[in-house]
Amino acid sequence: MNRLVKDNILKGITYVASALSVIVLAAILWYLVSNGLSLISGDLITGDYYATTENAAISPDYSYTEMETQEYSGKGYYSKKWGIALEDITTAHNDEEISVVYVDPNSPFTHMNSLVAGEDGMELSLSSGSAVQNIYYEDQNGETVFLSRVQMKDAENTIKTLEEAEGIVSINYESIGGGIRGSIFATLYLILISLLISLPIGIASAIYLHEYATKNKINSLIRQGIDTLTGVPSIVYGLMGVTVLFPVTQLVGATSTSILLGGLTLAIMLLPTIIRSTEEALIVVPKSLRDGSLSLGATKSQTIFKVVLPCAVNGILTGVLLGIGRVIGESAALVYTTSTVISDNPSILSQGTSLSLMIWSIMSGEQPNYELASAISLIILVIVFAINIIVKIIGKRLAKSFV
Amino acid sequence: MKKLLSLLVVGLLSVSLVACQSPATEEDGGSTTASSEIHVYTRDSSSGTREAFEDAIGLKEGELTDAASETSSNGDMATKVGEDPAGIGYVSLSTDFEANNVKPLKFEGVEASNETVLDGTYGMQRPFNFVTRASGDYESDDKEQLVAAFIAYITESEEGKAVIESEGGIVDYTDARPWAEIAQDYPVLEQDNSGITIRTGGSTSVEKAINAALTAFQPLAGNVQFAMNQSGSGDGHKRVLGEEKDGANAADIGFASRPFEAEEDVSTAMASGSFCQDAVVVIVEANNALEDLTAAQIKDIYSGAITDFSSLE
Amino acid sequence: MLIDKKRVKRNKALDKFFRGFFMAMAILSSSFIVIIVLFVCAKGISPFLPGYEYGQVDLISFLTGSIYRQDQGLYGVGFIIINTLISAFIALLISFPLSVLTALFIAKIAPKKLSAAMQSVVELLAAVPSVVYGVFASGVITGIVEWLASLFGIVTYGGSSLLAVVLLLAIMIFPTLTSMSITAIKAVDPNLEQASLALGATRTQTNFKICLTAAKSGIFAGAILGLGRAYGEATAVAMVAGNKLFGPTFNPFDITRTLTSTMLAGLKETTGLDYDIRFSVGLVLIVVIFFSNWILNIVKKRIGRNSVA
Repeated sequence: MNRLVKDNILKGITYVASALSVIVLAAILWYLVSNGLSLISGDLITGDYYATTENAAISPDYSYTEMETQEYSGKGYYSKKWGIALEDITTAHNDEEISVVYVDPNSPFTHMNSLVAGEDGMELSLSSGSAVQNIYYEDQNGETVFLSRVQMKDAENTIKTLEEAEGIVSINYESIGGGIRGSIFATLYLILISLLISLPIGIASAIYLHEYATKNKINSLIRQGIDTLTGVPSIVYGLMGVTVLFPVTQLVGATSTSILLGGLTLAIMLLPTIIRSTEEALIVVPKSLRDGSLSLGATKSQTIFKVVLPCAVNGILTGVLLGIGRVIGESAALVYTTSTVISDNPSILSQGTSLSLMIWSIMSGEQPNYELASAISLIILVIVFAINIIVKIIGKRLAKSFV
Repeated sequence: MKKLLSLLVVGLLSVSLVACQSPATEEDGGSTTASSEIHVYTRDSSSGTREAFEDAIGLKEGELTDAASETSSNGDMATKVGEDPAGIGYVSLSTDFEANNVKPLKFEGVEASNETVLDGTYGMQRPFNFVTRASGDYESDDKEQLVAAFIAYITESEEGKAVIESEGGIVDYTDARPWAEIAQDYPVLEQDNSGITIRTGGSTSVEKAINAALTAFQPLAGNVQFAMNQSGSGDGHKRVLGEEKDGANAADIGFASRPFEAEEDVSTAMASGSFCQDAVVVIVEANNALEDLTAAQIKDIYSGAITDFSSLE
Repeated sequence: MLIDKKRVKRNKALDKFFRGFFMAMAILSSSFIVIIVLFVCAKGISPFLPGYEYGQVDLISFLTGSIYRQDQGLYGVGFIIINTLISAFIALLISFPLSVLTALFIAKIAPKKLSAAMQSVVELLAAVPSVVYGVFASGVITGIVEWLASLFGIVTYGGSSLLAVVLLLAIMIFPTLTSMSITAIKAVDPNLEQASLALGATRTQTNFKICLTAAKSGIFAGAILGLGRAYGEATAVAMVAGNKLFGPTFNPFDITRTLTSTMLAGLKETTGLDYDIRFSVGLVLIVVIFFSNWILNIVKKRIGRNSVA
């Protein structure tokens, strides 16, 4: 009876401990969701970060007298004279913008030519969703007046000013950027590069340390060194990367810090994690299996590849998952190696930021944006969850095909 | 196991005793029981804002009280002071005071605003500076022209100044001219420049303003591309004219949120100077009763001579 | 027979090749250690050498000092070492029992479905970027600390405190500890367990007395990894440490300063001594980690011996 009570108490403790970890995760999730969920949208995930700007003049063919604009009763402030409705919005990056909500088909803003050199007067039409940056208009005396973003103040004031204008000369407008698609791709590249390099090296090192190496001073020194490497702050890896590894990336054509450089740095950073968890997985494989294989005439390498590794696959995958987690979460080491330049179409040799680095930039900026940071964190968690599932499926397949 | 643990504890304690050897005057600097005791927040010693702040109140290097807490960025400072009813700190005027739950204080009776900064009545201000690579040290002549045009855009044109102003910079329109007039001096603007990338580096404080200016400049200059890699004022000169100018992080224009120092020689640059002003504002938590502080009072607070809000009234 | 001989030869050659390959990889990974250590050493030791261009720093006062102020030229990391040790060890003390118990729950006690779900929870926690923990800590944990402090009538620095750092680190190292423990517990030889059960021990007794004891090595490896993470964690800790200028800090509600938060403070805008000294701090951190690993390894061996006896 006494034993049963004791057992139940012990069991109860494990329940409580596990419940605590669930509570912590729930608290983090709740915090992120309550702060960031409202910002997540298709535009944020798939959009460009950089706004595309257009500078356009009203086409000389456009005639104010022939075109009749319609009434409009949607949201925002509408100017029938120019056939355009504006509203005030706050972007995910906490910028206040004056956004176009409606453009009449007969508005002068639908008959414009680009003023940008190299675009050869391409025909342009203002579309809803753009943010107005500045406008040159003609006043009553026929003089051209520059209306800057500060002078516009808000949508209401802009419409009021335009109503008094005699004509529109040109307008500068941009798309609302701030999308993180480029950073998502950069993050995936970083994961791929760092794993492609660190996995073979790490697993092979672990095999050597566990299967071949005899117990001597040098080997135990290597092991101690690897343990120590785990604790080297990532920022040191970053500085090491940009001084030691940059020449290596120059060999393949990098001219500046690059995703490749970041990946290489992270690969080194991951080594101890991968080696450690692979070793733990190898320890688990019973010695009798190895002996059995060897006594059946298999060579040592055959034993390792056909018997030991398949048994250790799950442990190695734990290491891979830990590694991916570390790559996704890393910011300090990347500040110096991939730079904080956000790239919309990253390539291996271009600069770019990972999602975490983007969070770091957002949080360490002039005005920390908790909401956007939370939103990006949520997206990171979704990616992590997806990768976890994929890796597990691969793990199951591998284990099946081996055994 | 127990022996080892106790050994560890003893070791820890002995190390701590050694560490306490230097005679620091340690009044209880941290947590307090009376809420009227002041918590002083400062920036790390490499911050351009801190330099401007200490200059303005006449606090010499090293006079800062030991009891201060260091924050890592402008936003970090604002957040922390906003959460601490006993906190006092200083931030850039472009900070969103309301969102951070902080209250800006008058300095010597003057409220910080664009007007008081420009006419000089508000004492705590600093310039935002730029420096470019040396003439002839660009990848192409076109790029050199474009950089020169961009500098002219932000320092001379009404349009460029307006963009900087929209991002919180304080600009003086006195000598500003319309961009159309200035653009005529730069024939390179008339061609397609989408293959050229202007790289910037240096201060993070200028990031928003310069990003906006470059975005606005892009269509005026044949879709020139840009890449911003802001990491701190210290890198502004280094990556343009200094030791890193041909390294992985090289840039065409460097920025600093403080004047360039003596060892940062800008004489070889194609252009250098300031493109806007910023004010540093002392802040307290929103519900604090304080409204106005003099330079002497702030200095006393930051040097540790005043440790209590009640002695300010 | 002839063919067999050829095969044996080939296999032997292959064997040799792989042995060489594995060794080369091990040497490669350990050479990275050498590179990093050399790099950090070269940078970190330079301020203490005579003829250092920005003015030599005294090594003794650097290691034992109790004030860290660049503006006064006082670089003492003695108290920072203590702060770092205290925060990491207390975090480990909190996190270790919780994570081992959770691991035991997941590996042995929970029903299959719940166990899989819990494992996902742990893996998700492991993948939460540290910067996100920082956001969470400065948003939630500081609030909890402030509330706790107010019970004692203490006004904190907006919640930034030693306690906040400890709680943050305890949460951050939890997934590392737990997943390593799970692997170790799952790896325990089922024969051992069956023997224990056959001898009349209950399932729970077996779990606690056999599984945990047999999995010690792996659990301790997790503790070493976790402690390493606690020492080395930078971005999140810096958000709630408050960076005190002197110390050490023993009051849980007072602000503190760790080696990493020192390295991170103002890293963006520095050249000269202030820049190089960070590598010295980094070097100190590496030495601290090395020593604590060394001690933990001794403990690990001791425990191993005790259980055998």
